[in-house]
Amino acid sequence: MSFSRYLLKRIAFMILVLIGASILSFVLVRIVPGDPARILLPPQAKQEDIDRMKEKMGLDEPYIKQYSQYVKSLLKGDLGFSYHTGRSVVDEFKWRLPATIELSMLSLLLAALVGIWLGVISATNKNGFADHASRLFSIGGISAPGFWIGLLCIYVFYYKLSWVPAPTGRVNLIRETATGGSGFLLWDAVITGNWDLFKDALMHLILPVFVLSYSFLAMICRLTRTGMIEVSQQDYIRFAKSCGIKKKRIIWKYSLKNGIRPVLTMLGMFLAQLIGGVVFIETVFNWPGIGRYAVDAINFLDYGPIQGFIIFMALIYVVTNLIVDLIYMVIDPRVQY
Amino acid sequence: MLSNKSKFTYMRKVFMSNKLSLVGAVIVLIFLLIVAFGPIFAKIPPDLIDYDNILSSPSNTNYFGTDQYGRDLFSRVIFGARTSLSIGLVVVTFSTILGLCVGTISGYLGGSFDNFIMRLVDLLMAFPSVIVAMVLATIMGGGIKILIIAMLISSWTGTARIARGETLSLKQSGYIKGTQALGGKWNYILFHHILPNVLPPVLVSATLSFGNIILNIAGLSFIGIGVQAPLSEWGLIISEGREYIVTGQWWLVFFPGLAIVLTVIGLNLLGDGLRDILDPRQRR
Repeated sequence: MSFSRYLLKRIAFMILVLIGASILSFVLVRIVPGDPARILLPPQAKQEDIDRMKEKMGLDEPYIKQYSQYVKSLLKGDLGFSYHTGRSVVDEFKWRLPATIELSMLSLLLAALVGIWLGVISATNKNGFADHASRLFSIGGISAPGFWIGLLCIYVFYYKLSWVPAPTGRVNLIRETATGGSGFLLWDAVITGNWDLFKDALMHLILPVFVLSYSFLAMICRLTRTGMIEVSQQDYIRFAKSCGIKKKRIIWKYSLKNGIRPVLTMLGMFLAQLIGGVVFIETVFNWPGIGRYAVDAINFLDYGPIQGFIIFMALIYVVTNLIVDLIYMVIDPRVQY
Repeated sequence: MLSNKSKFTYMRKVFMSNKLSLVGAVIVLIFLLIVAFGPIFAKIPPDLIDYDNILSSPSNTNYFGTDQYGRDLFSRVIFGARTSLSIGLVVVTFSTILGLCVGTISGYLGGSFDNFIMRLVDLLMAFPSVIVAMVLATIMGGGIKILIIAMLISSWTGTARIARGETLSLKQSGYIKGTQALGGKWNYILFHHILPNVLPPVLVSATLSFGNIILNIAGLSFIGIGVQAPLSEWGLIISEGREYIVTGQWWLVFFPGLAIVLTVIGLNLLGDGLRDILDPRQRR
């Protein structure tokens, strides 16, 4: 199969997934108990008011037409609006997304760096002290719920030691959050030279980033360890050794490239788990991101944000999977498409 | 071929040689005993409200302290074990059966049916169980039933993948081809030859995913989707004690969480040990 045909096939699959997600979120609102039009209006509203509202919302049209309307608005970038806050979902996403991205990307970065490093150390000292220590560390990450570790960390580092500020979200409560700019607080603070804000944001980030990265770090460490051990038995590594190339160079340059392949394969799954984990960590640390937005929406039975969340998740899924496949091809030219 | 007795001796030897899996088995056994005989140890009813004794720290009468309603935390954690583990058991049983059936059939039939099932599995794996549960909870309201359905939807996929992979490699083996050549019916081959060989790795993965399911149940109850208020469940107890962590009442969060961690570690270690016995190829 040629590359362009492969790409076409992938894109067709992506579109299929997105259509599935849009149908899911469309159906969601139609089968929930209670009439969306009734929810919007005060309880004493008359039947004719409800009918008028239905007409306004397009709920009296046949389903096919309603669905095509819905897809049309999606394509225009309109994700609906929240009955609870009265704001459009896109607006909410716009100011919440940087908070979630800042938190999750820093966590992923930390998890990847430390996890791969630990995995390599573990594999090169197989059954040694470092191996056992790092495996014990990763068993903790896999077996303990993130929200529990988060709460315990708050107890130890905030209540007992006062090393970090109270879990009030991204900055202290009294601080103005709207500093303009991109919404990525660390970046904004550096650009405007606001070091006070930088320190505040950083101190608020430390705990959530550490806790969120812990479980991923554990998985990445395990996968890297298995991958590295497998690779180290292959002929090309043995050849490199027999050529007298330094051990460090073999490990970090030759083995690692193939050794982290299991990690890359799972990257798409990590991202899905990351978004799942974000929901808990944002709840524990009162982080104003999209995960907590979704939890709040559930608790208020607010359909708009949940619909938006489904579409958004599907979008992230297809895009990351494509990126992972492309990375795979760059790293390993033997992969056939 | 080993006789049954020596096979058992061999299995016991392998299992005992791994100290950690023994530890895992003991932990799991203790928790099963707690589920069965817990009420004997927990003399104070888990929902007995006592306003004279709220938020007291662990002591000789209240081993784990009390919560904001004066309820005994030790009893609540013990009774919570019943909720968490029984829901987990239901989910792991049904998801294993479902995954086993779908995976084996999909692998055996192959072709476009297999392709479709595997794409479906990919898709379900991409959506974290939290999101699936959230959507279901919005449609049908929270509660244990929704929790179980949501967990089922997201947890059968792993088993299906393993069962399919095993079936695919078995299908290529000589004896299956031989049976087919002799005119063996597909259902005979599936039940007599493939299923018994697919079962061991699937059982191992079921033990390992049991831990994950316990974690997910706790997580969903923590954000208010799963088990609801008057019942006691580990994640729910943590969520109820959550706000007291910033005022220093650590026991409300610590003990239920510890129960979760111990259970999950126990199940993971046990799973590793079972893998050594049942699935020697995977041995590390």
